[in-house]
Order: sequence, then C-alpha cells, then structure tokens
Amino acid sequence: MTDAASIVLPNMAARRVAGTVRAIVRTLLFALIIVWSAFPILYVVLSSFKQQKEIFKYPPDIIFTPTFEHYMALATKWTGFFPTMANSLIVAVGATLLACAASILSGFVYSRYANRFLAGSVLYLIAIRLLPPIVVTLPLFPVVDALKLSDTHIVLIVLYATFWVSLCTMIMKTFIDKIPRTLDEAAVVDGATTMQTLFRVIMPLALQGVAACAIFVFVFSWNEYLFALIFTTQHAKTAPLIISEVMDAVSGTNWGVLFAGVTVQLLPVTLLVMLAQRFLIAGLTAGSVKG
Amino acid sequence: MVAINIDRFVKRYGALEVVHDISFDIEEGEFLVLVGPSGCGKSTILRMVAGLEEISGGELRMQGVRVNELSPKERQVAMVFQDYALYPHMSVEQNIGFSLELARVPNAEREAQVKRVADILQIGHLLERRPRELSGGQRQRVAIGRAMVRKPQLFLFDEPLSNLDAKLRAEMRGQIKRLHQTLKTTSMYVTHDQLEAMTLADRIICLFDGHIAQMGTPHDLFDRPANVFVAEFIGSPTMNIVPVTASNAEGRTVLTLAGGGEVSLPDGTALPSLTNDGNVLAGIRPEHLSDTPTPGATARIDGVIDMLEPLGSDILVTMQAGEVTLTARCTDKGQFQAGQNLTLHFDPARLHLFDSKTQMRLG
Amino acid sequence: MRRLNPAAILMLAPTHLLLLVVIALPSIYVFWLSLNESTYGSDLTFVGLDNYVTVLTSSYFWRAALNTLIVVNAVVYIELLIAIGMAALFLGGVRYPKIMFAIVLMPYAISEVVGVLVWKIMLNSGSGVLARTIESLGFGMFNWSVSPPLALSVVTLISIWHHLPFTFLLIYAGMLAIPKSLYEAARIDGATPWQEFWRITLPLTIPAILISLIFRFVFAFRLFSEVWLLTAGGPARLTEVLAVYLYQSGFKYGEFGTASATGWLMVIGSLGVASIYLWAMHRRMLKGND
Repeated sequence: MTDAASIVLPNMAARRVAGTVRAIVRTLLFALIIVWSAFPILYVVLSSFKQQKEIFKYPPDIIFTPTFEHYMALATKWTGFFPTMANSLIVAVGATLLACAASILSGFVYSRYANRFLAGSVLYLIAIRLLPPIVVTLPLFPVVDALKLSDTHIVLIVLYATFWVSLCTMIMKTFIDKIPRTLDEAAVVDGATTMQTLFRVIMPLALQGVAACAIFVFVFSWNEYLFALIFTTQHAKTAPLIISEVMDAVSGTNWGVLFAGVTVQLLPVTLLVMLAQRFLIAGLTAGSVKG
Repeated sequence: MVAINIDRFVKRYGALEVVHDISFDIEEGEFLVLVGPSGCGKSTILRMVAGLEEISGGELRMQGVRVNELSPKERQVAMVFQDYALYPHMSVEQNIGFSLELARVPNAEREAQVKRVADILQIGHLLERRPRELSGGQRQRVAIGRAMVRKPQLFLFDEPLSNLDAKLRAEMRGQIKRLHQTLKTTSMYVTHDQLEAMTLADRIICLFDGHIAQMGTPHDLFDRPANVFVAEFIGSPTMNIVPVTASNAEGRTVLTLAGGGEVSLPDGTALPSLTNDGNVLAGIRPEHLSDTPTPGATARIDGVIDMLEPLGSDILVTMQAGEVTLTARCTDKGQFQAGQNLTLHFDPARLHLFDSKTQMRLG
Repeated sequence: MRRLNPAAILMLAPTHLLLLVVIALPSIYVFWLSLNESTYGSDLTFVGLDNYVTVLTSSYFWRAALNTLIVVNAVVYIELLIAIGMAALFLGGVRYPKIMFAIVLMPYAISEVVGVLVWKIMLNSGSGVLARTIESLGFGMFNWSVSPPLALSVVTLISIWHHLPFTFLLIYAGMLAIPKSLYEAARIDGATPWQEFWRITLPLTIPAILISLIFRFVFAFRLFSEVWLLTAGGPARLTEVLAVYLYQSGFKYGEFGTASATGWLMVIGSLGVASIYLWAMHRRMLKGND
C-alpha cells in the first residue's frame, strides 16, 4: 500500500503545472483574439501617420515618427472626401431617426395590443428580413429615377430605415413588454392619452431598446455600400462609396491620404460601438429572442 | 344620496361570462368593500368602474349620469393599484403631480397641491426620492397621494395591502381608515382578506364566482350570513359547519351529527321549519363554543380533543365528535390535553342553520 | 391587452407603410418582372418562364451558384466553430471584460468597403504586409487575383472577420444563460471541464447555435461587397457569387428580366435553407427541452 501522502503530493504538483499551462494558453488565445480583431484596423490607423515612403516598408516599422501631413492634405488632395462624409452623416442620422420613430410607435402597439392581424403580422415582419435587399433594387431603381429622387439623401434614408424597421420593432416590443401594464393603466387613470402614455411613461423606461436600435441603424447606414452604389452618384454619395472608388484606381493612389480618410471614416463609429457595447449586446439578445 | 349606481353589470371575455348581472349602489361618502376569493370577479368589477375594462352589459351611473363611454379621467375616478404602479423614472413629487401636469395645472398650484397631500400622508420629506428608494409602506402612501391629489369623485382601491407584511398591513389599514374619516371620499375597495373588509367597510359586498353572495354591513355578514359561503368566508377562525339531521324525540329537538354524535337542544328550542328530510347544515363560530357552561349556553356537544393551537391568551381546541370535527376558541388556562374528553357548551341562539342543498340560510 | 383602434393603426402605419412600399410591393413586382423581358427604359414583353430558363441554363449562373454555396458553407461553419471556441474561452472567465468586448466588436463597426480595402492591401501580393510574410515563409506567391480559389478564400476570411462579433455574442449569450447549478452538480458527479463542455454547455447552447446558423446562412447568401470590391467577380467571372451575378445582369447588362429571375431564385434558395434549419428548431422544440 502506497503512502497516502505520496499519492496526494505529486497530483497537486501536476495540477499546479497544468493550471499554469492552462492560464498561459488562455492568455495566448485572448491575445490572438485581440490581434485578429484589432490588427487590420490598427494597421490602417498607424499607417495614416506614417510618411508615404514608410507605409509599405517590409517589415513594417512599429516605432516611427508620426506625421499629420496626410490629415492636413485630406481636404485639398481628396476634394470629394469631406462632402461625402457629410452625406454619410446626414443619411445615418436621418435613417436612425426615421427607423427609431417608426419602431417605437409600432413596437408599442405590438406590445400593448392584441389582435389576430397583429399576431400574424409578426411572422410577416420576420419573413421580410429574409429577403435579400439587392432584389428590391431592381424595381426601385427606375421608380426612384422617375420620382427624381435618384442621388438624394432621402432615398438612402428611406431605404436604410425600412430594412431595419422590422427588427427594431421586435426589439422595442421586447423591451416594452418588460414594463408592467399597470403603469399604462395608472397613466390612463391620471388622464394621459395613448401618446402621452407612450412618451412620458413607456419610452423613458425603454431607452435601452431605443439605444440598441439607434446604434444598429446608425452603424449600418454609416457603413453601407450596395445601396449607395446603386442609388447615388454624385450629390448624395456617401463615404464608403468614395473610398471604394479610390481603391479601384490602378495607379497614383495617395496611400497616406487614403489611410487618413479611412481612419476619419471608421473612427467615430468604432468608438461609438466600443463605448455603447452594453446597448448593442442587450439589443442583440432581445432581437434574437423574438427573431 | 346615491353617488354610484352599478346596474346589472355583465362581463364577458368572448363566450365566457365572468360577472353575472351584478347590481348595487354606493352612497355618497361610503366606504364599500368588495370581498371574495380569487376569481370571484371583484377586481373585474372594480376595473369596469374605473374604465380600464369594457362593460359588456349593464350601466354605470355616477350622480345619475350614465358614464359607460367615458374615460377614467372623465369619470373623475382615482385608483390605488396592488403593485402601486409608481412611475419608476419620476420622483415622488412628479409621481403625485403627474395627473395635474397632464391637466396643465400651473406649476405653483401643482407644487402646492402635491405638498398638501404629501403632508397629510407624512411623506413630505420624500418628495425628491425615486420609488425604488422607498419602503413598501412609503410607496403605498405615494400611490394613495397620487390618487388623493386629484380630488376625485370616487376612490378605487385594488387590493392595495396584499404586497405588505402583516404588521405593515395593520398599520396601513389604520391609515386608510383614518384617511377616509377625514376626507369622506366615496370609496370602493377590493380585497380577498375578510379582516380588511370587516375593519374598513361601511358596507361589504361578498362575491362568489361572479355573483353577489351577500350585501350588508360587517355586522350583517358576521351575525346573519345569508349562505354557507359567506358564513365560512367571514370570521376567523372559520365557522364550524357540520351536516346534521334534525329530529324530534320525546318533545326535544335533537340534532344528530354524522357518526352518531348528538347535540342536545333544551326543550322548546324553536327551529325553523326543516325541509330535506331534516338534513341541514349547522354552523357555529369557534368563539361561541366554550368549555365552561355559562348562563344561556344551554346546548351541549361531547367529544374528544384532537389538536390544540395556542394563540397566547386564547387557544384553539379541535375536537372530534363522532365523524365530525369542531374547533372552539377558549381561554387558555392550561386545562387541555389531547385525547381528553371534552364537552362544549353553546347558546342555541348562536346556531346558524343552512339548507344543505341550496346552501342558503334557514330562518 | 387592448383591442386595436384607429389611433393604434395610425401608430403602426409608418413601419408598415415603409415595409409595404419599399419591400413588399417591389418584391411582388420583381416576380412580375422576372416573367417579362425587359431592359431598362423599354417596355415589358411577357415571356413566361423564359428568363428562368435563360438563367438556369447559364454556366455563369451555375458558377455563381456553386461559388455562393461554397463560400456560404465555409463562412457559416468556420465562423461558427471559431465563435463557439471563443465563447467557451470567454465563459471560463475574462479579465477586463469591457475592453475585451470592445475590441471583439471592432470589426462590426468597420464598413465592408474599409474591411476589404485593408485586407486587400495587407494581402496584396508583393507589397502587403501579410502577403509578404506568407511569401517569405516559403508558401509561394500569394496571388489571389489570378486564383479564384484563393480569392474566394480571402472573401471568406473577410466575411468571417466582419460577422464573427455578432455570431460570437449570440452564442456567448446563449452559454451565459445556462444556470451555474448545472455545472456544480456535474462537478460533484465527477465531470472534467472537457466533459462539462461537451455534455452540458454545448447541448444547452444548441438553440442559440441554430438561431445564429439561420441568420448567418441567410445573410451570407447575399454576399456582394466583399466579392465585388475584391475581384469584381473576375477573373473571367470565375469568382462571381449570386448577388454579383444579379448585379451584373441588371445594372451592367441592363437585363432586368433575367436579373429578376435570379433574384427570385435567390429568395427561394435562402428561404429553402432557412426553412430547413427552422424545421430542425421546430422539431427540437416539439421534442421538449431535455
């Protein structure tokens, strides 16, 4: 019979070693995730501060003297850039406002009213998200042209909002469901109309849902490419479109300025997403439960 | 003067009818309590009066005017909800003043009204707090304040004390009673707790399964319950109800309990005419059964002690008499032991008799 | 619950009007278009199912369909595996969770255009930092612009990079919902961490996995920007996917009829795939939760 103590001790040592190995492996994996997620972005951002000739040096410099020359040159060397950024902003804000307004109203109705049509239309709302957006561009293109709405902000605002309004309605419904109905009743007894109940009582308590919807729509609209490609040419061109055009240029690309522009384009929304992750995650789980 | 008429109320959910032809009045300044077990329809009736549920049939009149189609605000009713329904994102002051704000009452006036109400309820120091920072009792008072500030025609209470612990409940009961004595607003109060009904009501309506079981003052319901349901519902501990067979033997009336036990009634005890081959339900309250003979307590019943529940100064004694169990409330002098033989005395005038088929009171 | 009244219907109007005018009606019209020969600007001539025949007999269509099938399956399953692995890793404990999640979410915030641009530059044979690393390791020239399989692999990579955050979050949320008491009971029963993962975590995460599978399949089916911006479907239309094929038909060659037919074939395709998974979920729900 072996000594009980001698059985225990080697196991403990082995377990401690295994524990440390596990910890190292996990740290490495987390580091890998960080590199995978952030490296491409960091590459562009850092390169935008490098001198033109250093950008494509191999192996690339990690330590270098930063320069702001590309940023200074953005307005002059890439004349289309800032106007398209302004367009992106207008379109993103517009789509977000439209989508949020529409889905707050409809999410409230889906939460607080019961009806056969309503229950059936939930299926319709889900099914409609399964439609590839590119399919509707075919009939919409001539219509938009005929209405003289081609290359306007309105087109994109309406299109972007429409493609999100069904998911956002479900997200708002999920959040509003959590608010007890007795609050609605107390408001009615206090003399509130339906709209007053919605805006004074329900919405303040469902702000998380509104934030989630707003982030989804804003990020999408800021970054969208296909619709911008098809429906805008000049006047309402958004930033992703102009970036893609520079990409296609065979030669003579001013990489430094391009990277500076790209950094300017990606920075606001990336920061927004990073800071507002709480709402995003809440919205994701709410939307998936219903969807 | 009648303030509120409920005239033949009916409530239907699709094909299911849950409130059947209920009619009653509420006098001006009266505190009326609707009491009954879950599902009896009391909350439904309250919500129909409030305007939160549609009135499927019948008419609601306030001051003689039909108000079926009016909104809660137009009916000038105010309501205290079971879960308080305080707006979590507003302060106490904003909660109480919300209805005034919606009615566009000027700020100064509104603040004054809110303060007045808060002082009466002794929550003046909590005006800046949010509901989540308040205790249950404080929240309840804010809910009452919100209702009070509108100076309504009718106060509606929907089981407001159910969420409070026993001690707080007793305290709030007193507050509500005192408030009513001061304000004298016509009130309709819904609860499942018969003690609340008894202590607070000017009149009680006892409901069962969408029907009125009995309507009357607390004394009416306690002293002369109209049927077995009310007899068992009102009063704690519950009235003893036992099936008996009444027969006349040698000029005496004898009530035979199931299993052979007997209740001897003194000669000449008048019993209401018995139908049903003499099968009746007899009821006697535990408070009216005593282990010591007293003048007037001329009826007796014998049995064996089964269980004892001390209450402090009193004790609940449960006794087996034949196949029947009876509970008596006696003064506790340490005189009882399980398994003992026991004779309980009572005054036959305290006996309630009910038809065992219809469950209705006899006599 | 209240019954619908005119005010409520008015509140539903913005959402439903938008959906009707922008998506529902145009979709029906697209179906009508697909039964007609039409080029932009000219009148419609009814041709029945001719367009469908044209499309279904086009080798370019089948090429695109095959590419789509390959890319979609690659994207969905590889991304799923990575997401499950990541979720399991996070489940074991994260230090500085806010920062980690912020970093994980970054690709979601980046436009498809920027994503393609960056990866394109990094993988550009001869000059890109990643391409040169690969080439210097002796793998030969990393010239995806002339190799369709390589190009489609890059497309897969970029698509995964963009959408992994969401898939990861969905699955992670699903895993988080599993009550800790189950793990504690298993530990008492003597389960190893590996067994805990296989016998508890994975089975109970299957609903979340199915949901993200459905979504990912449906969204991957529509893949456009990554291919269009990387290769424009070339060389010689060898890297086209269905959405690119549609775009070329409609907006380059102006054949709205065949483009519409392609569109409806895409709808049927993605609905078909979605319904297989929905049926699997439905069956699972009927069986009850174990």
